[in-house]
Amino acid sequence: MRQIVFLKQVPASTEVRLDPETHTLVRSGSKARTNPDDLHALRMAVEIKERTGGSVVAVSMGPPQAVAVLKEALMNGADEAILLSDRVFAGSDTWSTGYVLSAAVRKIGAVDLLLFGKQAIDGDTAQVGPGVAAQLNMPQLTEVLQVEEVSLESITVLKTTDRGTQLLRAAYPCALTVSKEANSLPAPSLRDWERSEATQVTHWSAADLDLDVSLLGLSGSPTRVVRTSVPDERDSIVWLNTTEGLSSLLKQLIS
Amino acid sequence: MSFPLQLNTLDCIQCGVCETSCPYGAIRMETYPLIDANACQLCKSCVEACPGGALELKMETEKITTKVVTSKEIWVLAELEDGNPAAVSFELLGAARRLAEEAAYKVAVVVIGDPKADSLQSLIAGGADRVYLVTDPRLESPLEGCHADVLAFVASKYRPDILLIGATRFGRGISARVASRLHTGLTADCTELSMDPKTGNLLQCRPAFGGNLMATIETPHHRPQMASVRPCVMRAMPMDQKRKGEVIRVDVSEVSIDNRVELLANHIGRSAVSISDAPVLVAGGRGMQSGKNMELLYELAELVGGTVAASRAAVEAGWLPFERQVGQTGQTVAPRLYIACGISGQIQHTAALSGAETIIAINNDPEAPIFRYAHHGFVGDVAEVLPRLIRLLRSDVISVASV
Repeated sequence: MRQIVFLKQVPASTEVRLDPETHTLVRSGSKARTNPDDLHALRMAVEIKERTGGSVVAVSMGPPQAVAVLKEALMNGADEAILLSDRVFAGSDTWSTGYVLSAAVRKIGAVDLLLFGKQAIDGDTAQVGPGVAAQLNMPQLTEVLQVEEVSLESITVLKTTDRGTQLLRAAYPCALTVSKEANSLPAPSLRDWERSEATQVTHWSAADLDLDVSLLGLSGSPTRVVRTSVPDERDSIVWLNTTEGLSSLLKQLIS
Repeated sequence: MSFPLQLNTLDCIQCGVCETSCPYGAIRMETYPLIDANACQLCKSCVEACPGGALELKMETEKITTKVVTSKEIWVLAELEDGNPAAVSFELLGAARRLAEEAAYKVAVVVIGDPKADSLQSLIAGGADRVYLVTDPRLESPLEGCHADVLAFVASKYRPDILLIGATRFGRGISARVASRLHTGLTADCTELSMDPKTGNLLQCRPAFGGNLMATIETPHHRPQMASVRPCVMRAMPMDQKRKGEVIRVDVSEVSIDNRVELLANHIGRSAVSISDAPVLVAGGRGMQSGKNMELLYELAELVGGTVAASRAAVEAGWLPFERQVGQTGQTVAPRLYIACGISGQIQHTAALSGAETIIAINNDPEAPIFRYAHHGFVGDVAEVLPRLIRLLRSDVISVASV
């Protein structure tokens, strides 16, 4: 049983404040972290591995410093790690990202399960998992809450839907997206850390993946950012000074 | 190939705003900003932030791509709940109708599955000129993979110019798969849609970086232009029962439909609370101070005929369940009245409130961002204000009852 988990390096905080005088965005610090949902996807893969055996490959696409994400993955139970890094990847939208990740899956070869975090905190699109599944013509199980049964032939999962949950069974290979509710993350041990330190991270560039460069980056992506702006704020507020005033306003509004 | 992000040093006033604006930490200020090409994601934050206009994102010469010929149609995917179109489908039809007026397009709706008899007429009354109906015994289970593959087939056959899908859980799973299959762009969770009068492209406005920025995105060379929109964001048209439309049945019997996922059980109704369509919401945040104080929210909610909602802080503190969370990671809401109790109003929260008619905020910090967003403000500690407010409202209920 071979599983691939995809992890993304994201800004440590998405909190940005508006400087009221210059109307520019101010962010304190610029630390990076591993996207939270992705660590839960990795945890799910490791729990599956404990039941079926096999191996877990961690893959990240990003700048060279995203190797930190893979070191964290190795510390948390991944057996191998591959960094997909190339300047031509910068500015790729979700389609182009899916194109790169799909090529990496093909190069890795025989695989049973792909696991993704449900969404990344910097983009919030939840598109890459299903996108890769489609490019590889695999079935998709999104927002998986729990693995009910797993064997060497198929996997049965409980997934969140808009109106409750569904119990689904899929044959391999298939792709799962996982959110935070799925599991809790145990702290790695000293042995995990040592193993992570001893494992080399493989680097693959666009050339290693035999990609059509015209489908990558800013110019190869189907979508394009035209402009960005700061969301509107209301310019006037009516202040209430007494609880009585508040109470009568409420009564008026609900009548 | 030169890096697309370029600095014009003549315009740079060396203020360092770009360094702080970069969400990826890719800019380091020395005399001039140094851009780390490996860390830069070309997100344009610095370009927008730069007061001197010194940073520029230079696109390579655009590939001359012949535009794909499309039918002049804007499509909406109808989502069915027990055979009836979901509210979000009518909201999307409303959005599609307004776009169609701008560009002289027709509006069509795609229905996959087993709609009730009057559903198609109600979709026409809600703004559709045309209904593409796909029924097939293999599509009875609401499986996103199958529905996505069928929608991709129908779209590649009839070539809509725009395809709108509700950003429900089901819609999200479908939209990403369809965009991938059709090799086209998809913008998730759009809050505003309009047509660019010059290019005729769909301008898709969405929150980015947890709602801290609004990004306008377009899909210049690929079709259909796909966007997903959360429930409660767009406004439905008034139903016009006299509207006429045609129904086209699409035969998919020759299309292979993925049977690798099997639905073993469908549990409906786990989540009994629905904050997304509640007319009045009483929401609590970190300022509520303790789980015990949630009682105050429930009491107030009962008195004003409302439903209790929560900010992310209140959910993370374990005071209220996730299904009540309003915000970027929770739900978008559009109540008539929103009462924010002890909620600071981070933009991730207020971004999900754009549809609220009246917002009343109670917070002890007069500088709290929620007061820049609310219509009415009350400065005070919710733990003291709410009991007094509840007493006042209750005494009134009693006095009315005793008359």
